[in-house]
Amino acid sequence: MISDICVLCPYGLDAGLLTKAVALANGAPVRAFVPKVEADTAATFGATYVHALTNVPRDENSLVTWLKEKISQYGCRIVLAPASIQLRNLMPMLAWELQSGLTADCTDLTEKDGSILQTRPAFGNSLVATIKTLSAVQMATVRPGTFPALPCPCDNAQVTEEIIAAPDGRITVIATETGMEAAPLNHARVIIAGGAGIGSREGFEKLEAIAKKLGGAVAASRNAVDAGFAPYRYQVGMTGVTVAPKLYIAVGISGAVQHLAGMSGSEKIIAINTDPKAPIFDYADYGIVADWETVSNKLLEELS
Amino acid sequence: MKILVCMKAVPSTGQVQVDGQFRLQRDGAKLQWNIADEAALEAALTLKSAEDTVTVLTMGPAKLEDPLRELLARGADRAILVSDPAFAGADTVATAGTIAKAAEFLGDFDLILCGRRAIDGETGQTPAMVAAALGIPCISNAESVQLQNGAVFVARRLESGTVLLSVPCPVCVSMCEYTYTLRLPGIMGMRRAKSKTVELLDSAALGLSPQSCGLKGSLTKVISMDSKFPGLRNGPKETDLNAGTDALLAMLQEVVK
Amino acid sequence: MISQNALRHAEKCRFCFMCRHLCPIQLQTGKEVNTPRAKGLLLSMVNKGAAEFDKDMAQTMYECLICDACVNDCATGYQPPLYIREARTEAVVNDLAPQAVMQLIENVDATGNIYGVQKPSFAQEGSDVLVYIGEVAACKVPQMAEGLLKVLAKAGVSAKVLDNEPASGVMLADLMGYVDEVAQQAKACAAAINATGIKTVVVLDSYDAEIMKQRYAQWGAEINAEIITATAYVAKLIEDGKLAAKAACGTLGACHDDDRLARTFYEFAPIRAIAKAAGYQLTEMFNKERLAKSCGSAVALAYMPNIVTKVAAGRWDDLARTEATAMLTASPEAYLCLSQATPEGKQVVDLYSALAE
Repeated sequence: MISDICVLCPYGLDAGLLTKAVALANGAPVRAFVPKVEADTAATFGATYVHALTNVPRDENSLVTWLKEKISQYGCRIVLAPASIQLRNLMPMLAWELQSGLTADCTDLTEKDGSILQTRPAFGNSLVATIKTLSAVQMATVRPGTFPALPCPCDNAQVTEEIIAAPDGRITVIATETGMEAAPLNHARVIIAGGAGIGSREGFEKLEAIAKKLGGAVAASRNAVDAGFAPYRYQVGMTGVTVAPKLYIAVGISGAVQHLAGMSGSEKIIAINTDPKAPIFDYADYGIVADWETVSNKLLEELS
Repeated sequence: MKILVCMKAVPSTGQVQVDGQFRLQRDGAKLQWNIADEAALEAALTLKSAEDTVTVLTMGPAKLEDPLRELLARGADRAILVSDPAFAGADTVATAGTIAKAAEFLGDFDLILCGRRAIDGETGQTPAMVAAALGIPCISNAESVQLQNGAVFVARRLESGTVLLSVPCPVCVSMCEYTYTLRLPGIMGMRRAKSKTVELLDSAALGLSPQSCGLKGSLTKVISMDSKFPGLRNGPKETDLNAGTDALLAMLQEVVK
Repeated sequence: MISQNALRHAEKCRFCFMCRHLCPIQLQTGKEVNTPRAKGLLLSMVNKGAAEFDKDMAQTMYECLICDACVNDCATGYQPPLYIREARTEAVVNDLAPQAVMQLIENVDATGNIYGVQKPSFAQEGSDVLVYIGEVAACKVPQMAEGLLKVLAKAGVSAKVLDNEPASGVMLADLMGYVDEVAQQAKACAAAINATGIKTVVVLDSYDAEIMKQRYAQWGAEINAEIITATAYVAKLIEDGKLAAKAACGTLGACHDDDRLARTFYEFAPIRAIAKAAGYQLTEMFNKERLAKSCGSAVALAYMPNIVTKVAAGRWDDLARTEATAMLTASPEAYLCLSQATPEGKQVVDLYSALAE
């Protein structure tokens, strides 16, 4: 039996995570910390207690002490948060303050004898570990988009308005730039990745053009980066970024183990390669044996 | 100005072995410095002026002494190896506790730089926990870091864009991997490094009891580990260009909508 | 301190003998230490405490052209230049490098090149391409640099050459390995190239092209332009009909594939296209393309002139086995080395000058 679950979403509700928390709680109360504008939404996804936050400091460092007091005050035993960049920074600080175990970026949570078993991939998806927390409070961050959001209205949800005390003032936000050239790799829904087979920087420009039309991002294999066709920040794989988009299109990539490690968690993988024996085809849901440039040109034509 | 850079040695190949307690086996594996940590060291060396010191610290087996000496050749002033059999199997809380103890032992640092996450465990939790243990703020996911009048200016990458922050020292900053390329060791640096030694810190030196560090000091326990890599999907292979493109477009439409 | 990675390469050697038959220095000196496998064994012994890295060993590590012939042919896939470069770093750090090498390093410190002279300027304004002349051509084979510029002018290409062209770092890299001092030169060079805003860099010396294309990016010294070898660029001008082929001169020649074109870029057709356009009738030496025997490098020639002159003579021996009388090259390094040992009745031809005339 689980006593209660606390879901921390001070920067925006993760409805999928809340849905999962409600299922895990199995009737026990679920407490959600959300921005005030999302208080009603939190109730429709099953939160028993909704803490409607106003005056949320832009930097999460300032939230640690306040949240620690709330969690202690309510005696929460399980604390979950979406694995966003800010909360993946906040949760460890909170875990230290509460002297609790914390598991990062989980892809599954299950209940067993009052504990939450946390599943998470490591080493570029090559290992999947199941982790149990030994401390009184169990904490985990959960990869966004892991669980589907299902409405489950809580009829008697209690909404408490919380005004967060002024931040501690150490951190000053000077400027925010929201206009980004492209979605960061690990948040893109569609990734079009090029390998050494692309052959040139100009080739990557073509991939960029396609990605732009799709609102996706461009990635590269290590060979392509080493050859100077794409910058390092594009590199997906063991020594680059790990990604798990809805759709990953591997173009001119042979499929070295190191590259597979960075993208094998993708929902759907499509491979385009002239070599029908390229290993990438074994790890793809769909393969096109063709010259990448011909396919790209055709794709660009169809998309415009 | 005293800068501490926390480095982790990670296996550099896809072949990962775990032992009976699900600890990554680093003994036989080929190791390399975690690339985001290398970026942190380069950021430190770029910030460093003549009167500043850059200390590199790693926690791991004794065989990391030579790789640490190489970091001295690349421009670090001091190298610390935090090593003890008792530290093995530490989760992020136990690791952060040990590193924070070592940081306190070594004196007050104005700036602690780390990589935003290691390519093996990929938790990214240790920097923020070290900061919390030392009572200083932590800025994660930094793309650039600059110093001015005792304050650190950080460009931080969030999902929604870039945020520019200023924080007075002391502060901990974790760097994104693609931001700074670690310089090569130079002839002058290698000559300087010859006269330096890697300093060792064990649990006794840090006053840590066996219960407070390593596997015993950990608050999480790995209860099973599966090798799920890589999942064979064996999808169909289309050789007709038009059919292939049409199928691709259909799949794109499903996702993009 | 030799890296674990380099040691792995040193210890992979199975002593199969093959590199003995193609190491150009071993072929000329006959010394067993002048085989790549011996150098690997020496370093492996140092690592195991069975030998000391002393001045003699350092000297041995410099008796190598880093021509990559052994890499190209090694059945176990090992790369002697990897540990030879690191051994050179070790030698310099510990003051064990030969006096002649230390002198060249001092010269590079002072002037950017091993010759210790101010690099002659070929500065000119232009907007289509930036031509990177390099130290060897500028200081020792100026006619080849002039020849290339004339060829480009003839083809209507507006070519810029930097005033105070910075060194690429390749000389220092051959003298003391891939160290920060080399990366600093690379960064300065990349910055000067990027400042022009020109998107195509035509590199005369394939040694410079190699370091720019293969190393710069990993040192954070990215060049925001396409790097193209002068041979490939000129061959394209010929193919596009921008340069008219000359009438046959009646001389039979053989193209020398220089070390970098042969084993870094695998670029073979362009130099032959240039030779044909320059009016030469072509034949081939037995050791051609990837297997082309090195004739030496400018850096090696500077610190061991006797050995490199013998190496160059070895390449002329290859030509002597053909009917050809002309050794054709578009590499300033090869031209310089081959000129040291030109046999009676033969000639080394700078293809750019030949095409420009």
